[in-house]
Amino acid sequence: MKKSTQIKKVTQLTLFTQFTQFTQFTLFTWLKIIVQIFQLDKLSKLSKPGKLGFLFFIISSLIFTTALYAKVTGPCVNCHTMHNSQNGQAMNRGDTPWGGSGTLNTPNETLLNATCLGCHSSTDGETIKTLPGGQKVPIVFNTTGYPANPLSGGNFYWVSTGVASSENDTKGHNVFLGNGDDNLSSAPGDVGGGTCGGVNACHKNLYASTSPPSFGFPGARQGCTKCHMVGTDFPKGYHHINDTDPLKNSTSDGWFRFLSGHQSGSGHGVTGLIDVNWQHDASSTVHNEYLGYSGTKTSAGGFSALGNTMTAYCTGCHGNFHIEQSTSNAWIRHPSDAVIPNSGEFASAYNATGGTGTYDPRVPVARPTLNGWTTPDATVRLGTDLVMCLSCHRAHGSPYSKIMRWDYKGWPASGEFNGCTVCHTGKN
Amino acid sequence: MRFNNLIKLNRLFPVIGIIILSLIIFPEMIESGAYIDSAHGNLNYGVNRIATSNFGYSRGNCAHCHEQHASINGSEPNPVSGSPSSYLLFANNFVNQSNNFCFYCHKGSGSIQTSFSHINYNYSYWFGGDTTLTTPNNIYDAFNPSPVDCCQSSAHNLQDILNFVKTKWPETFKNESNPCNACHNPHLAQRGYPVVRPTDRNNIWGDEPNERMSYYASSHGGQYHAPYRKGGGYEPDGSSTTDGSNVPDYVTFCSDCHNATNTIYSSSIPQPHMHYSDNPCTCSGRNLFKIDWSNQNRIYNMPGDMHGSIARCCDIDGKIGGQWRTCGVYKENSFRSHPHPPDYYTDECETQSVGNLYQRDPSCAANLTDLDNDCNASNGQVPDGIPDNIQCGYCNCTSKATGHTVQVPAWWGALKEPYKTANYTNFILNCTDCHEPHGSQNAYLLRVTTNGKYSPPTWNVDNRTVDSPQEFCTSCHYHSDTTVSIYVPEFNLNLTPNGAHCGNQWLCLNCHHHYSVDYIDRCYACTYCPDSGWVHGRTF
Repeated sequence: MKKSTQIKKVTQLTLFTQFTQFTQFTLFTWLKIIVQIFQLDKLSKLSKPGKLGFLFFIISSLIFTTALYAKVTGPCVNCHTMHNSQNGQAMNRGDTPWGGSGTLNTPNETLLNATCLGCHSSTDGETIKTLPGGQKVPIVFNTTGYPANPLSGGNFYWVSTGVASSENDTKGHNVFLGNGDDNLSSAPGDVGGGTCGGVNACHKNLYASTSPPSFGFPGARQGCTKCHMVGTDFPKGYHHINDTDPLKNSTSDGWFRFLSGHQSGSGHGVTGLIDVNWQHDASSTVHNEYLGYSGTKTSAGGFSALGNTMTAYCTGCHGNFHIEQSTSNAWIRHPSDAVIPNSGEFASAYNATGGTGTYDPRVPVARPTLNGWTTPDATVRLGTDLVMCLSCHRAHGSPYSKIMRWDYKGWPASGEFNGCTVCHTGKN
Repeated sequence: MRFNNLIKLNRLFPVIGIIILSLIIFPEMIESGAYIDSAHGNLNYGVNRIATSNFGYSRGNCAHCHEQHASINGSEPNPVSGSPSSYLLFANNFVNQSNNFCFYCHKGSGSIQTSFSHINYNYSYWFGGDTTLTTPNNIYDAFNPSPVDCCQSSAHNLQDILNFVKTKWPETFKNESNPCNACHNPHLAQRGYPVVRPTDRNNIWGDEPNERMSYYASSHGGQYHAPYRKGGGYEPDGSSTTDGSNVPDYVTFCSDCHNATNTIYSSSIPQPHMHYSDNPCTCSGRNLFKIDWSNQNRIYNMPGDMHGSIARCCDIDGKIGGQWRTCGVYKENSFRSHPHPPDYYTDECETQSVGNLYQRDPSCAANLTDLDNDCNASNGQVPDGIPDNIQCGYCNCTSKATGHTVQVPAWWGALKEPYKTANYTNFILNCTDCHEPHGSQNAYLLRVTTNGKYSPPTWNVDNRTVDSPQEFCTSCHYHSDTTVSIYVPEFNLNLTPNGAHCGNQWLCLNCHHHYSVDYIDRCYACTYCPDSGWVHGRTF
């Protein structure tokens, strides 16, 4: 391929990407061509147009970076079915995971061809599915076993029907309809759910369906939609939010993972930076970023008290757990959204020296501010960064009791990694 | 390094590289395991609360003591206090002497620990070897001895401890702190090395060679000698080791609090009285006597403790010179002007084989070699007319009654074995040689069994029958031993116990206590004796 042809093709792909949002596929092709160019021509040998082309690549790459965070892209048919019929066959897969079989004759609202579970579950061990057109789908429920590479929220496998038990119920948020928690009658640490009281309120449990209209929603809420997309009357439209900002910190961004406030928290949501692969290949440089707020330690939290933090969101159901200090400032519960000290045993947290350590995605931290952030930071700054709910817990599910990120319950007999000691370095 | 050696080492580089790389890839491999090495974190006998064990938490797991959210499975596991507690503990850290977080497990009946593989008997049991002392058998009972009478039993007062440490080290200890933590770090404490210094809470104390009693003694001009362990051998483990290299230096440890400067208030301390029959011991609060174990100053009337770093050469002239005589110098002239022991060269050590108590060793006396004038070869050897054997104290007197050699000076022989034979010029004792750390069925935390000798726990400050008044002290000292006649050089008398020691039966501790110079001028390490016209005594 000639150089001019290559540059032309890159230009076309870039423009195509911008208009179609087929980012993943085109990015791969784009990078492939760039590699070819550099293999054929040394940069120094490029003509003036060639050098301009190279500059164009650089600018294009910046454009691509933002494009990766864009809305759902690809053929509409990936998610929607106009008539729940194709060649006389029903298209609504309902909760059927990728790799599974079975359709429903009843169509879904908003013409969706599957439920949340239908899109975000799979029968195999993969946790990212790529649809025609390159759209990637995060898998949060692998039906045949806990995946080797769970995404940042973990996986609902252990609390799924057929696997759930009183012990396994401690390993995830019980989102499956009718499959309540064997141990809990309501969310532990529940402060009553504010005005959204009632046995099946979102703040009480996730498995049961609310009866519309109730609890401020005109439609029923169950499972996923009791946490996600609660900022609107109906849980829809979020996948089409046309944001380009890598930092999700507003309603127009859809907030972090569509975690928005509701009623008294209206207008609020969770601020964060989302890894493009949802931490499938997490490392110190590849991970989400979370916002934290080291404010009150004696309140039940909420957005009004804690700002747009992940911890604030968790306290919507587990508010009592945020009452962390006694009147004499002694810790009475493990702190969440508290600055990790740069002193004592904590001075060597995250293998830190001089107050700076290495980010460990096994034990994530929150940042006091994410303003202006576009990429994750590989460092942990003691005395600045904060421990938070997700430092220890997964949001969806994990192989471990209490949705812990590591086998806390089995330690030390298990001999496995104990995330506590990442901060509590004197307790290993 | 030789080239061949370099080549050999070079072969190791790949192995070393793999090890280093492995540690980088698997950093958890290099976790030191300080907690897991502790008694509480031990996989075989660590913490294991019944309630959390039933939930499946591993033995040694944090959850047995700490409830991260004051809730497990939606409710508070036993013990249920109804509200979260400081430091995420499952109960209040400290309330009073009988209501302490640690006692939830460390108690007898009602313990919430699944089981104990090692019963918390007292020091006299485990290290003193007296396996008959099965009471107390838990920490709670040790801190709450029976009867509740400071004149008959004793315990470290936990509230007093907390009051002191949170005032002394406010950055470390708070109102919510547990006074047990003044001495223990529950995340580090090991069975063999249970303590940390309150001034250095992140390091186990006693596990390093320079944290042993042998090191303390040698660095303070003395020697340590382990007491007998009941059942055989020496404390703490029944071995033949006597130099303290196998026992933590509890002196340094205890001295963080109990030293020459800290004022420590005790809310209940015995107040014994001389005329105890009419005026029995009472309990009241006062500041504890200070302790100056490290002071080697031998000047009369200055602070210091004879069981500590002050050498035991007791040829003191408290009224005149004020300076202690140098140990090992037994020149006649220095003896003649003062009361003296029956060493070889004195009148009490006779040349005759009949009469009196002591006889010179004629074979030793026959050696009239005179090379040195100061018994120190490094100073040069200059004859001075006094045979070296005599001048340097190489010849001893022999007891005519027993045939045993009389140690020099003779009253040192008032010590019992193993100290008598060891005959160090400066014994430095460990605190635990005499005291229980938690509590005792004796007053003043004094051990029930020490130096292999059992002192009936009925002993108390008022129980001063013929055989019991100094029951404890006689574990190591002959004073008041009814079977021994002791020569008391101060008065040039041979006294039986009831007549010895000024002819009285006072409680030893009335005069011989820590730092007595600060309280009763006559009762320094060596004492004045009222019946002798307040002439100073010289033994301790």
